[in-house]
Amino acid sequence: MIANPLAHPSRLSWWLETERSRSTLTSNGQKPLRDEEIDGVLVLGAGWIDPSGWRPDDLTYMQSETHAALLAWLWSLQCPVVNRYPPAIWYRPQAPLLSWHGLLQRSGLQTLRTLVTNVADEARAFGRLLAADGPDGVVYGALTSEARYLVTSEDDWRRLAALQRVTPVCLSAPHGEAQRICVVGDRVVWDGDPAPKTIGLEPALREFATTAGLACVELALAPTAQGVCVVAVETQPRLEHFGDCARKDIVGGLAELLTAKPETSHGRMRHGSSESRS
Amino acid sequence: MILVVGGLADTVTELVCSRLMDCGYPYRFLDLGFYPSGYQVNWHWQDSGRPCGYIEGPDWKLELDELTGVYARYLGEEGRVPHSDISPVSAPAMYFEYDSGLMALLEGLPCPVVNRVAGGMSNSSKAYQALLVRECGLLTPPTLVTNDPDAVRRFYKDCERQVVYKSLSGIRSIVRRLRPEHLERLPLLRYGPAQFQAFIPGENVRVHTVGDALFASCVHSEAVDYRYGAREGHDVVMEPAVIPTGVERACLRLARRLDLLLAGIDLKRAPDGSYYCFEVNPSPGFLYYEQHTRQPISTAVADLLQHGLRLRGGEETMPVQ
Repeated sequence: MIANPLAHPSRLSWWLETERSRSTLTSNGQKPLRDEEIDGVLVLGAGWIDPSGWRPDDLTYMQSETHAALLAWLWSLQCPVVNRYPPAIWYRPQAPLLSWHGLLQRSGLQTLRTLVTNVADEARAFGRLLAADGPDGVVYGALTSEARYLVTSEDDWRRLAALQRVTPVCLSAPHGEAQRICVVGDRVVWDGDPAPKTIGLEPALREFATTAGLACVELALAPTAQGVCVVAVETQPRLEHFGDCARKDIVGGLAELLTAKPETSHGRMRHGSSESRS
Repeated sequence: MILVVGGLADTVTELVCSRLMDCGYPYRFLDLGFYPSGYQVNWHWQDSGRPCGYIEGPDWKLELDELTGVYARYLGEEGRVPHSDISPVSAPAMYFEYDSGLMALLEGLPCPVVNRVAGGMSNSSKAYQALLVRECGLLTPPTLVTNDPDAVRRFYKDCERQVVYKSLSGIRSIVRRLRPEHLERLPLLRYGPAQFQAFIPGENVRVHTVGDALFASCVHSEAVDYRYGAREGHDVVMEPAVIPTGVERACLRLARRLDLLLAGIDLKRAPDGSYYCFEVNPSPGFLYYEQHTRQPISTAVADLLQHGLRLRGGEETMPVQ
């Protein structure tokens, strides 16, 4: 376990030339580890830097440098890396669900009916449209935070209209209780038993993970008036979101991935190109 | 209809707008300096995963399905006029929220977008780009990325003291020669990494790719980083250049690989005639090169936005996504 391979007490040196790439990693005074001696890497963060003692602009710079170096080094490794994040995900791990809509739908997964608008009348019309075949109300959530608010009463709508005077708002259909899923390699691990309607989504879930370039990704599915929809995508899955049985399955899947035969360099780069999310 | 998203104070965006006018291509301008004030936006996602809706400006309304192309160049905080109801403290968070919505919209549009933000993310790691550069058939200089002072000293010696250092990310991105007096500061590397490269002598060549078109400019300057040559008292002279077909193809391959319809690719022609690639800029300030070389880069951008991406040797428009 290394918090940041590119900060004291660890030392990482990576040499890159047109014809070859090699690296050595030293940690905790242990013998230097050459890249070919690393069998697999599980990525749990992007290289943490202790902010104490840094000026804010210098800290931003050092974090950017560390993230940049770590991303590239992970891509240079021949061994399995879970996840070998494409840059678009590495630099925007908390990208809004909206940015996944296209890929989710092309993979065969439904997404929530969603509207972005700063026109109060359009928001109301959207609310009426949803109410015609589902529960009353819409869910408002800022694109850059995880907080969600149900808009149902007249007062809610008035406050939403006030907010729309300063920013477009993102509204989506209300949904029922979500079930967590982790796609890890070829496994689809459900937190609890999958509903009969959702078990058939496994091929689409695998397709989504593969196209996104993620060996391990967490999603949440929930029932809505239009059917089962994806209501969350977590590019950095968290075991604590799952029960004991699912955790064991996820860890088993990770172990399989990390001990698998290395991919070819060509296949890796093609797989993880930056268009994955669009 | 073309949509330009940016700030008029940005000279590159201004150039794109004036070129669209010169070409007679109709466009609408979404001024990020003021957005969303003065605009009405409304879009939803269809079952196909494509956004559908409209953007309404001061005296125009644009349906998203009318779009033939989008040019987007996002602004920093300094280019924005905060909404009167937003406190200065909250303003950066609001700009992030505005841009996130626009980015999600542009990512999903089926027309050419110059450029989608996902494609540009690679520029935040020049070392990652170097891996792609190799795969696309261009040379990358011997490079060391490290936080180990001893490794730098060995690299410096191995490269016969001809080494430059520069940032790995897009921040503080100035190239400098590594001088003997700098070696005293190497222990600071314990806090984080830096990138060191063998100095490649030769002529700087800037390549702009616009879809399948390519414009190469040769830059004559004594400065290590010609972009800052004037600061160091060096003259910068540019002229159009012809580069080998194999290098052209590799540049086009690289831009396509990064999903960039417009890219600025930094090359160096070494004395032995080989070409090294240093980085790919997803939001290039091509005005500077166009002014110096008179190459019609902005016209190519305008054509791309109006007509889509045309494959070399054919008139067929290629789907972008």
